[in-house]
Amino acid sequence: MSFLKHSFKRRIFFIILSVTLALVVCGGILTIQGFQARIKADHQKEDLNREEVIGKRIEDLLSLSDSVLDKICESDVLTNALLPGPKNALDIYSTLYEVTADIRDFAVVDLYLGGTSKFSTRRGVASGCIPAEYGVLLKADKAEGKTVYDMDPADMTRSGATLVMARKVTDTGAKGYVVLRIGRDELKKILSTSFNARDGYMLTNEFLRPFCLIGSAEDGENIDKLRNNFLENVTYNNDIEENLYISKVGDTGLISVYITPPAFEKTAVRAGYQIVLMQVVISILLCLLVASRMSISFSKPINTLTVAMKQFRKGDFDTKIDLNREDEFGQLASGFNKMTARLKDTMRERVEAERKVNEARIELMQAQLNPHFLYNTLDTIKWVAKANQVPEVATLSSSLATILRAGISQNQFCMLEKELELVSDYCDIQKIRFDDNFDLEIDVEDSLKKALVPKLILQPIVENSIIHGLEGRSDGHIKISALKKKGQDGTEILEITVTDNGKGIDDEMIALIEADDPAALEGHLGIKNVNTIIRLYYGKEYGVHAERMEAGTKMTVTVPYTPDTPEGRRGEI
Amino acid sequence: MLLLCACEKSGDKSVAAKIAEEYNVSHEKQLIVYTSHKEEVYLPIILEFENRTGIWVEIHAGGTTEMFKEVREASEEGRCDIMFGGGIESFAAARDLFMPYEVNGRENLDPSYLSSDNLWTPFTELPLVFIYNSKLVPEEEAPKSWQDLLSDKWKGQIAFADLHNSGTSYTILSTLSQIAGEDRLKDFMEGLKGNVLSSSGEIVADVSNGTFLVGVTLEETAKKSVLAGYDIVVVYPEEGTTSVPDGCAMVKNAPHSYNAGKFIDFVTGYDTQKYAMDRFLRRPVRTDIALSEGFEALTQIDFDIEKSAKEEESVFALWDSIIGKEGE
Repeated sequence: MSFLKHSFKRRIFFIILSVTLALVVCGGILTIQGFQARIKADHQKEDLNREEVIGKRIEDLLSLSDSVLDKICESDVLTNALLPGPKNALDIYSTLYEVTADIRDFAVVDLYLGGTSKFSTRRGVASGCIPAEYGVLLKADKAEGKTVYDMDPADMTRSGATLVMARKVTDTGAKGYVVLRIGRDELKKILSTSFNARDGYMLTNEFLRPFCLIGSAEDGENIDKLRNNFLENVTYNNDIEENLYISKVGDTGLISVYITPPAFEKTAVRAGYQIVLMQVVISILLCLLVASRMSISFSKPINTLTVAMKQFRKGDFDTKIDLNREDEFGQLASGFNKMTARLKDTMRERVEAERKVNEARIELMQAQLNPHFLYNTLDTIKWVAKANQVPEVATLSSSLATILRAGISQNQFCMLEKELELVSDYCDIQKIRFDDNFDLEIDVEDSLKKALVPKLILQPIVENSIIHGLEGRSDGHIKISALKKKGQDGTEILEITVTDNGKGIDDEMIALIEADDPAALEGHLGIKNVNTIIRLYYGKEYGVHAERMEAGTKMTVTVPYTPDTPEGRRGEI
Repeated sequence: MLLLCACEKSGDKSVAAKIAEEYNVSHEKQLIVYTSHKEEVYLPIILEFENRTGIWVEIHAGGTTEMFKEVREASEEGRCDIMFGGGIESFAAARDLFMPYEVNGRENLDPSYLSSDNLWTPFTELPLVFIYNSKLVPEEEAPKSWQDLLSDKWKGQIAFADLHNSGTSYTILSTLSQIAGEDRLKDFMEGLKGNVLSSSGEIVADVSNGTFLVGVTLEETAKKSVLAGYDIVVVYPEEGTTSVPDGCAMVKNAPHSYNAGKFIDFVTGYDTQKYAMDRFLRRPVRTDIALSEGFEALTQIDFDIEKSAKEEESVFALWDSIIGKEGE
């Protein structure tokens, strides 16, 4: 089996071969057998006709002879001839010749007294003696006036004998018989006119001892075989090629066997099988050819595919297959080509993305380096300032450090309290910058101070008030307040307002903020960022809202109220 | 096609079955006979046996030596019932082949050749007689006795078959030796002058046509030839003659031994014995059958079969030395 398993070609060869052989062999044998059966049947019909003809002929012959015996027995002249007393030989002979006229050309008739012929139609010498107590006369004696059939002991051989018909005529005194002989040659002459040269015929007694063997039966082989088959109790035509038609001749006890040559000569059948054999050889060769052709047509593209796959596995993403076919193999090849192209693109994109990530990582590391250094430096400045009794510098550097720390903190959210502290520190720095010309008021309930807000959302707004609103004023006032209220859908909203008493925001600016157009707020980066951050976190209903008052500006920041609980810190990193 | 085949086959079968039913012969109706008789002898007898008993006889025919050999083989395989024909000395030489059977009507048979242990049964007697050419030899000069045969007159004139080819030739030499003495055999052989026939079947013809003047042959052959018109005269030797009967025996392992018994009864029965006398001119072994015309009552010499068998080797040696391979 492994012989087949390991070769596609052999497998194809084997499959095609078995199918073809099954067809050729079964078909061939069936055809031959069918033909044989058909021709046999036809022949048989013909044979039976001929057998009937010849059977009828022999029956006619015997019944004609028998009727002559009847006439002789009925004739007073002839029966008296066998009785003691004076006889008129002329009368007897003329009667004898008269009644035997029809059969004399093939039969000899004798009148026997005991075993000796007294009157005979034989030409020349008279018929010989027949033993009276043995053979045919004994039979005739026992048959009491019926015709008996036997062989003439004078010329009997195993291949034939003269057919003797005898009947007892008189039983008073010496027994008288009429004996009718039909010679082998006469039988042959009469019978051979009605059958084919290749056929054979035998007329035998009940023990299959032949009277005559004619035609193909002449060599005696068939009668011996037939007799043997009867004795061995095997099928009658065992070991006999010819067709035998066996029948009884009337009630004579004789057996008639008609022999015809086999319908199909053995050589013809052999030739048929030889043709089938030749077909088998041719189909084996054809199958070999087809199998090798098919396997080439199958295995070539598969080989190409295998080689390409190997190449691809080694990392050559430019592998392409060119089969120049439109069947399934062609589709497979184009699929393969598409796949490699797609894989190549994907690989390139991934490499690109990786590179970007790496760059960002490096940048981030570099960015984190600076604030820490700055923070530490500011701390150093604060202590140097304190040591040198320069409180403003100490305050500046301390506040800046606080703001810086908040900026570089990794947390995204912080408590409002922290945010307010950061604003306060920021204002400390700005007060020094702007010669203390404003003050900051924080009016927030302690409970609200614990609310969580995104970090650095108030500083840009306060910065905006100091730089744009309080520009050029010496009594500036900034107030930060917060309150909690219910929103339309029942959620709690934290509203933080930054109010200043500056020159007031202009309408153009309000429109820009309300428009929610990040591009429009170019130059007011702080407010834009706050608005963007809040909306990214919470959605469009939250954000920064600006409003001009009689004196100054009121900026409102709305965020959902989130108490400082572990749940609320969820968004923190 | 297949259907057709099937139909045809079944048709064949029923025909075969019908024929088998009608003609097949049951085991009880069979008999196998090996015979060394001529066809003209065995066939009428066997056919009559078939007709009378309804038993089918399978016949194997051939020469005596050949048949005894075949019977030996067939007996081992149980394929032979009867050996019919061949001198009783052949049966005696192959006693181990046969089964004793006491023939029905044994009391009617000539006791001189009956086998004491019934291993075989004689069929007919075949005495040796002289023949001479009736045209070339006057009656008064014809040989009358075995002694006459040794006279110088017949030197080179006796038709005699090669000892190697004819059993009868040995019987003749043996008889001569027992009547005239062993020492005369040499004279007789030399008297042949190397003129030896290849078979005993040629003796009658060669005497009749004058090639030889006298000869010794079986009574049956001589009588038949006379009837057939050969120019020979039959003489019964004065001292008497040797008559070796041919036999019939039941073979060991006979598959149809009952029928074999019937066959032996039949061939020694009155009808067949009479038939053999009338038709074959063979002397019957039954005492109740009248001899045909021309058959004289036999004077049998006291033939010593054992002595004859003992001498065989030396006689052959003598023959070879005198006739040598000339005849071959």
